[in-house]
Amino acid sequence: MITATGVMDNESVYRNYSEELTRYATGLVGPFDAPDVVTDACLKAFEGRSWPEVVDRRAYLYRTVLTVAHDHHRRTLSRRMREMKSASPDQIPDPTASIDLEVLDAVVLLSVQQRAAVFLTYWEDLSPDAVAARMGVSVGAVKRHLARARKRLGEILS
Amino acid sequence: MSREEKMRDLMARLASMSPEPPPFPEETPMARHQEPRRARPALVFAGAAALVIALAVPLLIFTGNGEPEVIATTTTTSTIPTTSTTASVTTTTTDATATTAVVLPTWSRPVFLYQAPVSSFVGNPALVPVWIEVSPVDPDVEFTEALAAVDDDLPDGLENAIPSDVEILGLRFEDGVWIADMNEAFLAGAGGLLADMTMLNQLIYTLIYPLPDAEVLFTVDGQPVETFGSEGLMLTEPVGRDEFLDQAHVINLSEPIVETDDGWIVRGRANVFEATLALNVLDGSGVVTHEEFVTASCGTGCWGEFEVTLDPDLIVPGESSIQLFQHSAQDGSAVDVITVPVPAGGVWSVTLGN
Repeated sequence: MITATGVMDNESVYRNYSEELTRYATGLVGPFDAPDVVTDACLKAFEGRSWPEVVDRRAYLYRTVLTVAHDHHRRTLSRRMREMKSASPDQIPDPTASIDLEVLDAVVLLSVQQRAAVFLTYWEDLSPDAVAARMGVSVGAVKRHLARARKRLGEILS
Repeated sequence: MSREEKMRDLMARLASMSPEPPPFPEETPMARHQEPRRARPALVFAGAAALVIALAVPLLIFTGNGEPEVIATTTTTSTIPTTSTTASVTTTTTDATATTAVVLPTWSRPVFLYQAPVSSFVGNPALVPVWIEVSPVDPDVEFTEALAAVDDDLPDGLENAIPSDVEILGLRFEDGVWIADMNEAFLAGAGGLLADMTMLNQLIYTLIYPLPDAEVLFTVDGQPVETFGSEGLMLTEPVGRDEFLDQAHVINLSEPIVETDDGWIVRGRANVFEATLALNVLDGSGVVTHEEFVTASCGTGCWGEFEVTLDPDLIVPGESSIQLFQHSAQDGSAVDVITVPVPAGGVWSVTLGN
C-alpha cells in the first residue's frame, strides 16, 4: 500500500523484498535460521528512528540483514551442521527441505561478510561497486572478502 | 568448470535451499531479545578488585632489545597496562584489596605516527614508527594517553591522527589477535575517511608490533565495531597490517630507525615502480651527504619489503634525516618523498602530565 506521501508502508516493503532477503539470509546463515534473521532484521529496521527517512529501503534492509546475521552466533551454522549429521532423518526439522550438506560445509568455512560478498557477487551478479553499496563497505573491502573467500574455498574450487 | 563457474554453482545450490519467507513480523519474535549491556571494562576491573578475582592477564613486556616477552601474571588492576620497555618489572600489593599490580616505571615502545604527503593530491600519509619513551612514571598510563601526549612534542615532520579523547580501555591477546576495547570516542574516527584509515593504520601497526602477522579486533563495550568513522566502516572482524595499507603512502617504515652493531637499519614496505626506491641521508642543514638505491622484494602494484644498513659514520643522531622516495617514471624527478629525522639516542622522549 502506498501512503499519501508516496511511501510504501512496511507491510508492502516486506512483501516486495522478503523473498530475496530470505534468500540472502540463507547465503549468510544457512536455511535453518534465515527466516529468524529476516524477521529480526525487518523489525529492527522498521522500528529504527531513521527508517522513515531512508531513501533506498532495499539496500538498507540488506545491510540490516547482514548486521543481524553477524550478530547471530558465529558457530550457529556449524552447530546446526553437526546436529544434522548426527540426527536420524525423522529428527531433521523440515525433512521436505532439500538440504545440500556439501554446500553448507563449504559455507561454514567463510565469515559472514565473506558469505555476503560471495553471494551478492555470484548469485545476485552485482558488480563490486554494487556489492560494496549493498554491504555498506568499501570496494576494496569487497575485493578482500572475495579474495579471502576464494582462498578458503581453494580445495573445493580446485 | 572454472573456479568462477564453481562459485556460481555453489551459490546457486545455496540459494535453492532458501526457505519460504517468514510472515510479516507484526509481533516481536523470540529472537529479538537484547543482551544486557556490558559494563565498561574499567568498572568491571574496579569491581573485580573488591572481589579479589584472580585474572591471568598476559602482559607483553618489551625487553631492552625489543623482543617481546609474554609474562603471565595474576592481577586485578583498574588498568590493563599495555607495553613498556623497562629493565625490571615491580610487583606491588595493596592492603585494601589484596591485589597485585604490575607497575611500569617507564612507558617506552615503538609508536607509529604518520607523515603527511607533500601534496594531498599525489599521495597518502606515510606510516613512520618512532621509539618513544614517556615519563614520568605512571602505572595508569595507557599508550593511547601517551599518543595523545605526544601531540605537543612530536618529532619534526611527524603527526598523530589519533584524537586525544580516544582511549583503549582494555587489551588482551587471543590466538594471534589483539582485542582492543576502545572507548566510545573511537567510533567517531578522526574526521574524514583518509584520517580514519590513517588512525586505524597507526593503531593496528602500533598494537601488533613486533608481530607482523597478528591482527587487531576493535570492540566498544565488548562488542565488535559495526560502524566506525565518517564513512561507517565495518570493523567486525580482526584486521591486520594489510587491511588499510593501500590507503597509506607508497613508502612506509615498519621499524624505527635504530643503530645496531652493523650500522643504522632502515626497514619498511613499499609499493613503488619496478620495486626501486632511492635513499638519501641529509645532514642537519638538509644537504645530501649520501645516496643509494634500494630494491624492495616486490613493486609496481604489490607491496615489497626493503631493508638497508647504513654505515654508522653516515648518521649523526639528532641532526641527520633519512629521505626515501622513488623517481618519477615520467621525468625522473623525486616523488613520494618521506623524510624521517634520526633522534639523538634513537628515542624520542616525551613528558606526560602537564
